[in-house]
Amino acid sequence: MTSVDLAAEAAADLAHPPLRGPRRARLFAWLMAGPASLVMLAIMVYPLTNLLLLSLRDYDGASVTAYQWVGLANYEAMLADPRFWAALRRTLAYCLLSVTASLALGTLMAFVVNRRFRGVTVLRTVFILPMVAMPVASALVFEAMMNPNQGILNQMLEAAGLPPYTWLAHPGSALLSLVVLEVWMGAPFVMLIVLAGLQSMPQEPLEAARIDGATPLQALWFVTLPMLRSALATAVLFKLIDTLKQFATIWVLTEGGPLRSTETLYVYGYALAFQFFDVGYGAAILMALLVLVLFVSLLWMRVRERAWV
Amino acid sequence: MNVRTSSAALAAALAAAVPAAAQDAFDWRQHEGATVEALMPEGPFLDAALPVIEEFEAATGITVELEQLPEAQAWDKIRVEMQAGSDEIDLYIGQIDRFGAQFSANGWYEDLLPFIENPALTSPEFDWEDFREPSRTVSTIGGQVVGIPIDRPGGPVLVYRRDLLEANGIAVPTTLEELEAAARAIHEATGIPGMVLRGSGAPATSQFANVLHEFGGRWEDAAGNPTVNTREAVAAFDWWGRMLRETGNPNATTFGFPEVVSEFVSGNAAFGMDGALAVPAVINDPATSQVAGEVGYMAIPNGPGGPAVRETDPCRTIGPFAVSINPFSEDKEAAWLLAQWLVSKDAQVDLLLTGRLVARASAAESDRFLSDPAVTAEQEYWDAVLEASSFCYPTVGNAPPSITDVGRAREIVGQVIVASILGQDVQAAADQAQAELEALKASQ
Repeated sequence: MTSVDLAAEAAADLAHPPLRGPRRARLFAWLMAGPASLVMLAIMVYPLTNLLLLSLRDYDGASVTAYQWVGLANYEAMLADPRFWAALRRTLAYCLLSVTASLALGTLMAFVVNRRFRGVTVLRTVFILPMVAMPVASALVFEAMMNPNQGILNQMLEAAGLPPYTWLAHPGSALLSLVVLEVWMGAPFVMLIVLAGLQSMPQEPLEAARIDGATPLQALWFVTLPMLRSALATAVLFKLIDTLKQFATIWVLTEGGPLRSTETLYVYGYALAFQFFDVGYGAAILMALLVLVLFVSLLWMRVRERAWV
Repeated sequence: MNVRTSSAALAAALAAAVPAAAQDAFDWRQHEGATVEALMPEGPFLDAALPVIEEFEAATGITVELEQLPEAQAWDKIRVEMQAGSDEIDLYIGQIDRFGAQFSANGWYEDLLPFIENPALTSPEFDWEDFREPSRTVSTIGGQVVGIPIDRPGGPVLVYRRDLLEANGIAVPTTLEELEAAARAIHEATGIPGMVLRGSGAPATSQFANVLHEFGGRWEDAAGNPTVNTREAVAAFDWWGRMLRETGNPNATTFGFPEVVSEFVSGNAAFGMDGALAVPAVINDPATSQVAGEVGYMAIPNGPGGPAVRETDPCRTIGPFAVSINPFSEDKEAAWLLAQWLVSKDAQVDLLLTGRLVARASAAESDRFLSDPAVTAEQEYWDAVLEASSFCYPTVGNAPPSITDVGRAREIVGQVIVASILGQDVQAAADQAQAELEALKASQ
């Protein structure tokens, strides 16, 4: 630093004495939060704004001519599109089935591994594994397992003397098969949260219930589960968001088929934008999904606040 | 058909047609120092192109910057670059039936005819006439040559298990009707599925097109209106679904080409028909196939349309891959030199020897091909392929060709195939598809 710089700095110091107290703290806070906030802006706000703008255009990726502003026309088309409504119903069905089953299975798993017995640590690790596995890899494994002719699931059914199941090959069973994979991946997460809840739970109320003569089932229903409300509610919120947004496994396993029976909103929006190059309309569908996720999350948090906590 | 016919005479004729002096006279180094940016989808054409590019660079002094992408991403990238009017790619390998109509309408193809006709830019060896019809017609849209065809998607070849046919006393079928009877008989006698075909909607349409044709059906009429719910088309959809559902593959709605290949090579089918299946290196190699040594090949048998269908209106298969030049490129002439190397007579023989049918007629008649031990070892395969390609030629369309949005049209047609496999009302599904295709066409 040259002497000129030093002199300039000294002059500046005189003009603006160093900040003290709360003002200084606020500036420091902004400085610290600044870089991260900028990154967040870049990776969240920019794509979202872009998606919104795309959804207001007639942006046909296969043509040079169409890149016009069309206002809400894509949204009007969406409301009149039976394929959109069918996809919405499917998305909700997939989400409700997956979340309910994950919740039940995950809670059961948590109760099992909350006990002390030989090998419980190994069992816990095994239960967690599906959560760490990559969704696409898991989907590929399930695809092989659900293969109607050579898959191990049908071979097991056959060995048990049962008729083979259609799994992903039939519109009546494909969505359920996808739910099976979603539950397999999702239950461990519920287990983790519920297990944490169980382990941090005070034991006195349970002991009191036992002394008062409650059966184990009564103790579970009237004491343990109510005390787990908060953990369960958190798990449900995360799983709702997760399953509404599920794309990778569905795309790998069915691409929305057969006969569009597994075409959720995400899958429909993706196919529109990247297979049919109807980018504007695809963006509108994905905006609808975004709103759905926000709405369901807010609704759930409201329900939780009002009813439980 | 015997592929050895008149090879010697042809080789002599070829040698005479390209005088050495003419080869020397052409200035391959006219764009020395230039750089050509090429985009190619990963796959057999890229593999074949790599050594050619190396030779090209040495011979011309032109640098080739090659971008390789998985197929789907390559198509997206080409589209995006064209839409942006970018000169980032000079030359690419594309698929004419996938892009043709849209690209041509948007002016996204450089017309190659002026290059072909300019002796200063085109080596006398190039010989446009050598690209066998109708490849040249398919590559010409609105009077413009939009790409130089590389391959010639084969006519449909039916593969079958010789051992299963013999053990059950069944003759090789000569019609689709006999094929169905044979598949049923083998399934009933052995429990092994009689037939394996694609069933998962859109990907099945390119293979289904052949059967549609054999039934006398068409994607569209002369005026370009979709015709997927005619009596012939419905019969073809019905046959496709029945062959899978009733001969042991009722769950084939998940089958794309990987499943078709895997079912056949693991011994789970007596018959199979798929472009990806009729490859000796895959199904007749003990390293990859449990049925190696038992595989027979034949061109698709006649359907109810009879042999006349092939004579009056040759069947349709998917269009060829082709080398095209970006009209926004600033190095078109250097790119054109590269294009000539990529589809040279030598390069085409190399590609043919990998098992791909190629666009140049001279390749299958070259000495190098006819005397190759791998070719003589799989004579039945080559006879079947060449016979099938004699009546089945590449032309635009694995969905109604007048519809520019091929992806959506395939998806719509695919629904009928799935419905048929599931045993649903085929006529109703075809009517629905017809209505959707008409609406799609009206909206373009």
